[in-house]
Amino acid sequence: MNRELLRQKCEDWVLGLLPEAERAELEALAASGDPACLEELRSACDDLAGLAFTVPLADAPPLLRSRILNQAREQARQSARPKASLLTSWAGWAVAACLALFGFLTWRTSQQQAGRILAAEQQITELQSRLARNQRALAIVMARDARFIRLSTGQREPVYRAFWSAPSGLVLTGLDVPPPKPGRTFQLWVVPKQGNPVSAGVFAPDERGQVLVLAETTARLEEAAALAISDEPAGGSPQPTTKPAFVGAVGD
Amino acid sequence: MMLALDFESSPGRPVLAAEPDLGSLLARIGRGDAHALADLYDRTSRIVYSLALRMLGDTADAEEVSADVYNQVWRTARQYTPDRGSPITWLIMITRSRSLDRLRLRDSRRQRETTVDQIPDRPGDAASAEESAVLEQRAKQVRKALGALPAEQRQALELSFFNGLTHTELADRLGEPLGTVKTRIRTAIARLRAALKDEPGVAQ
Repeated sequence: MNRELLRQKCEDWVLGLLPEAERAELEALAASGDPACLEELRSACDDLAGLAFTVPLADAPPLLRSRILNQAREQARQSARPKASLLTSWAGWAVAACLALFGFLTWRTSQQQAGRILAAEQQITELQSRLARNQRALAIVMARDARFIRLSTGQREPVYRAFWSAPSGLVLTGLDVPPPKPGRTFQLWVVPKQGNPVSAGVFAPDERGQVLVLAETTARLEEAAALAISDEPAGGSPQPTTKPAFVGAVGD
Repeated sequence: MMLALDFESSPGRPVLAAEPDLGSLLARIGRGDAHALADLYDRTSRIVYSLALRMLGDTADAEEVSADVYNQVWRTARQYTPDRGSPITWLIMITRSRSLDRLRLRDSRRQRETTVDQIPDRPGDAASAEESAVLEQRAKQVRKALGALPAEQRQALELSFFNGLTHTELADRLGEPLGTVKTRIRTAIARLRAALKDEPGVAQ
């Protein structure tokens, strides 16, 4: 690789324009301590970083300084920092090695942190969704007009309870529910006073045998005669294909 | 050649890197000296925050990125050596990297197309006189070099640096063939660096 090509690759590396294969090749060259490569990388970095000085200057928020310093102090308290003497004893090789790897590590660290941030944000979104779902379910259970419907085989276990509020929705809870057989699922039905059952969703118990279903149904409470639960093929059925094992009348 | 602020060689009292210089501050930070971190922040926070704000176009995001940058400095300063480049280059590249990470997490790309024409001629009023003078000197040098570029080359270079767009993304954004965009960026970088090399005030 001639010097001009090396220079161009270093410039592209700084801007993030280098294709993956060439980036890896350049980073390997830098990691080997190639003096020309290191010089070109440093030079390209310094020159292109100068573009930052053209931005309009603005003052950082007043509280940012104390926030940063408090974080630093907190980190210092939580973790013992390595002694400076360690760095000194390693300095001979560390200077060259770290120089070569600096850019690569910076890039990799940023990528890893971006991934962690993304994962954390996804987790937050998931938790927020779960919280909203639970809050909605609780609102139905606590609704003054909620009707309580018990679904049972007449034996002790499992026990289903449903709460249905016309304006808020329908919630089904279950205790001691065994998992469905492989390839099967449980399905909740609204049985109207007239007409065929209407699906209110499929479900399976959690590992503790508990069920909490926020039913998705357009069925109307005042038109419902009963709720029923049947065992169906995975994914559910348009209409019950087995005799419902649990039935509960919707009272007034 | 380097464009980074020539702290040590500035006449009179150094500005951004008043005694001790930024390199010494990084060394002290590496040993866990929080006072040095405070000192570094006081000397560099405007350029760090301003760059993040320019790239993100959002004050809250810029604040978060700035906090991340100094947090990283606090954790990794002991790994810094002068052989890596000037301290301010190190900070700028961390800031750019962090800002690009945040940009990629956002769907919106608003505020990402500000061109050099919209950049004020002078820094904000809150800068110290000395800091303003040094920043302004360097900014003028880069602006002059950028201003000498054809508009399409300048736009491509800024989109690449401030927005982190790849060649393909640039081609999409500009509606130009990929080859044209590559040539445009290549030429812009070469001309910019040549112009900076010819600038008498740019530190070597």
